[in-house]
Amino acid sequence: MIEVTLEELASDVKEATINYWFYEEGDSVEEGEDLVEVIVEGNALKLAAPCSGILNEVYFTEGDSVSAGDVLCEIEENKEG
Amino acid sequence: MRRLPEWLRRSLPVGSTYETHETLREFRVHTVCESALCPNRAECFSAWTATFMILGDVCTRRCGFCAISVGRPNRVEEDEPLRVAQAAQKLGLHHVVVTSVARDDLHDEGASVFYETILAIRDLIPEATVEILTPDFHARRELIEFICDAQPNVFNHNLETVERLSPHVRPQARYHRSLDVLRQIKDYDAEIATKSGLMLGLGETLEEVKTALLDLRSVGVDIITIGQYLKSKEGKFEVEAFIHPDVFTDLEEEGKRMGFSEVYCGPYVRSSYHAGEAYAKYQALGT
Repeated sequence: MIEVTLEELASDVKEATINYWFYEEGDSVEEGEDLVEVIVEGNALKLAAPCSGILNEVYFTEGDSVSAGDVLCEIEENKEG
Repeated sequence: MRRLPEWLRRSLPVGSTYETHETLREFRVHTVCESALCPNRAECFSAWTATFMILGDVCTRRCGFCAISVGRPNRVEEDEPLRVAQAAQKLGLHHVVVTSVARDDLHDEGASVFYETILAIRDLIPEATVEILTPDFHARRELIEFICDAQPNVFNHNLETVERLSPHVRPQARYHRSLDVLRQIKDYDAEIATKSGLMLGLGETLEEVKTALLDLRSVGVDIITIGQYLKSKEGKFEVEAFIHPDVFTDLEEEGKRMGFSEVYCGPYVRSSYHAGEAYAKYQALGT
C-alpha cells in the first residue's frame, strides 16, 4: 500500500486546501496522472499518482485543510507478474 | 468543488522566504501579502520583496473580496513609519510599496502616517522610489494633497471592479469617488504617476471592464493592473468566471490603445506585483 503524502510546499507554507479529487475510492489510477488538486495560497497545484493501482482510501475531502506531511490517500499498488 | 483551470496551475518557488520573514518580524511590520493571502507571496518573499501594510492589520471596511481582518482597528504606533523604512532598507528594496487598511476611525483616515512613512523611507533610502496604495480618504482633498506633498513616485488607488458591481463588492466605497481620488492626484501634481487596478471574475462583462478602463483613462491614470479574483477562505464572493489568459492579453492591448503608459494583465497580476519593474518601465517611457 502506497501512502500519498503532501510534500513540503514552499519554505514557509505549511497548509493547503484540498480542492478537487480526480478519482474516487475504488477507482483505478495510473502513475503520473493527476490525482488531486490542492490550493496553496491561491495557487493550484496538482499532485500526480506516484504509482498505478487502486485508490484504496481517501483521508481528506474537498474543502479540507491539509498540512505538509499529511497522508492524503493510499493506493494499492498493482503487482506485476 | 470546481477544478481550477489549467492556466492557474503553477509551482511554488523553491527559494527561501526565511530572510524576508525574519526581517518583517524584526521590525514588527505587517504586509498585505500575508494579511490578504496574496497568491504571489511566496514568490515575492523568496525574492526579498514585500508590500508593507501600515496602520495595523485590521480594516474598518468590509470589502467582500478581501481576506484582511475586519473589526476594531489597532492603535496607531508612532514609530511604524521608521520601522517600515528600516525593514525596506534591510531588504535592500529600491522600490518600496506601502499600502494600508482603511482607517475611517481616524480624523485624517491615516493620511499623516502615509506622509511620515514616505518621508522616513526617503530619509533612510534616498535613492529608493516609493509607491503607495491607499484607501479613498473619502476623496477629501486636503488629505490627498497632503500625501501628494510627500511626493510619492506612484500613487495607486484601486477601482477594483466595474461600476455596476461596485456597490456590492465595495459597499463602503463609491465607484465615482475612487475616480475622483485619482483625478485629484493628477490635478494637484502631474509628476506623480497614478495607478489603479481591477479584479475580474466577479460577474462583470467585458464591455463593463472596457468602460471602467475608459473611466480610469479619463482621470489620467498612467498604470493599470488587471488580475483574476480568487476566493480565499475568508472571501465572501464566489468566483463567477475564470478569465482566459487570451482575454487578459486582449485587455492589455486595448489598454495600450486607450493610452495607458503601462498595462499589466494576467490571472495572477496584483496591484503591487513586480511594481518596481512596472515603475522602471514607466520612467523609461519618459512620461
